[in-house]
Amino acid sequence: MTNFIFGRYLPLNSIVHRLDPRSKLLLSFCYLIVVFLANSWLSYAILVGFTLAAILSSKISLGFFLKGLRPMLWLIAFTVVVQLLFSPAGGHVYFHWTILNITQAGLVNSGVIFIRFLLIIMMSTLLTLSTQPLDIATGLSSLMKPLRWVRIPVDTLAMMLAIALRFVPTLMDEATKIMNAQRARGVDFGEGGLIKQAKSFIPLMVPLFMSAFNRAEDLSTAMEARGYRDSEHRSQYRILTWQRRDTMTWLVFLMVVAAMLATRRW
Amino acid sequence: MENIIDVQHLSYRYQDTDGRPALDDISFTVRAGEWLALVGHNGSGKSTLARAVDGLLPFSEGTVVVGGIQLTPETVWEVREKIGMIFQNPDNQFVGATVEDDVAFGLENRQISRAEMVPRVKAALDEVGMQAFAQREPGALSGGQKQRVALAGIVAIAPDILILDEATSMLDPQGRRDMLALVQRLREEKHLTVISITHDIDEAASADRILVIDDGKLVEEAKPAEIFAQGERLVHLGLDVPFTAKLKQALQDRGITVPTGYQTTTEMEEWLWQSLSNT
Repeated sequence: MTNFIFGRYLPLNSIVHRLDPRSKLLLSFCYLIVVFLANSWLSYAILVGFTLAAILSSKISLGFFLKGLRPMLWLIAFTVVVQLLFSPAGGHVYFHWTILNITQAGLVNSGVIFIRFLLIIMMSTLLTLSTQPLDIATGLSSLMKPLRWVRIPVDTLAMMLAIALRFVPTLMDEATKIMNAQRARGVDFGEGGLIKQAKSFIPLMVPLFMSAFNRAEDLSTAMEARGYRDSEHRSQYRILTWQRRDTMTWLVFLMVVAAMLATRRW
Repeated sequence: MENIIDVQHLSYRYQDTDGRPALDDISFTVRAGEWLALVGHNGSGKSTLARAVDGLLPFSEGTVVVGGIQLTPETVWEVREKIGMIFQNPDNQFVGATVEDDVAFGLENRQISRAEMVPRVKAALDEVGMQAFAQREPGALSGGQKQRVALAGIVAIAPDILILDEATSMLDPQGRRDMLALVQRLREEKHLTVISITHDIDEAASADRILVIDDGKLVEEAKPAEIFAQGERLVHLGLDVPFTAKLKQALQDRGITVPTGYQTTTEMEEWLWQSLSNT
């Protein structure tokens, strides 16, 4: 589980780390759209350049990003191969066998898919590596504030999210303890066929759920005892402040978008 | 001194038990500034009693008056203003993602402005010696440190009464002693009234008065020295017998006359030295 890089925060002191989480979240979202708008090699080159620049300014070594790609490798390979083999006719045909074709258009398509995957994964990995989960939660709830007008309980959702994040390590520790305890009683985790493996997780899940429910009950009592009534009538200790570097980052991003739009095929 | 807590004829029944009351006609008072210990077996109702006083259980019979306010569904939040509670499991009461967030939780609930919150969180952390850990996540703290953070959360809201619901029972001996020393210091500085629910003899010994709860009933009320003098019976009361009491029992079994009443380890040591030099 430790080599699963998604959701792992690397505490460093860089401009990317210090950006307002709202800024980073919105930017990542816009970036997603921008990646799908690009269509010429030059426009992709510009986006690759921007992504590399963002990674470099985060001071996080490229190795972490490559490690982050590993769990997605099969998905990428599968998509690229499917694109390659089942691509529409177009341009030179390099290979043909029953329904499988490798065409020039197919090569280009799979190349584009590969670059899109790479860029999106890199950028979202950068977001999670440079932003604490709690800051992501705070940022998200702050961005969702307008939804209050349509009576969505944003504050309650934010509180739930923050508590869920808070208890992830606690429950992970607990899972490890239970696994060790069950191993000592002769349970084999991750051995045998799929059904046997799935069954071996029952002695893990049952106690884990039991304990999670007990914790939830304790926690709600403790929260009430500490004066928690509802999420709306509370003040905030953690606040987010939009700073100059956020505005600057957005200016750079907008220029990149403009350059990308100028170089794409219309 | 005036009574800060006045409980009269309090009864409570859990819905899922077969009609046996968890609390059965309990009456007691706590004077302002007093340290009261509640002892009893697991399931005797002592935690239930503490929860009822904080309005965490909807009891039907009896009255609870805290700081002159009678506990009703309307006044429950006012009453909770006056009471800070620390529970057994350090992890299950840590709400915030970091130490400072957790200390601020109670302040946020009271809608205190951020400008006022920041210095209060800092002061509270200073008070319990956890300022250096302000940015840490709970996973990086020991059980004792988490309980100290819980205490800081209470110091920040400055209540009159502190209830420790087996707050030291999951700590190691050193953590337990540190925690008790801290509670004692805070009690003097902040003029707190302390109610501690405990199995720990040292914690019970810190109290001015001990209430023994058994099967939902208040069975005994006495000073620690009187309770501890009962030796063997302590086990029946749900307390871990102190070493000095065990030693005295063993000496008595061998026909040696021992002093009556409760002795601390040092007192016992002195007595032993004296009796040894006399023979």
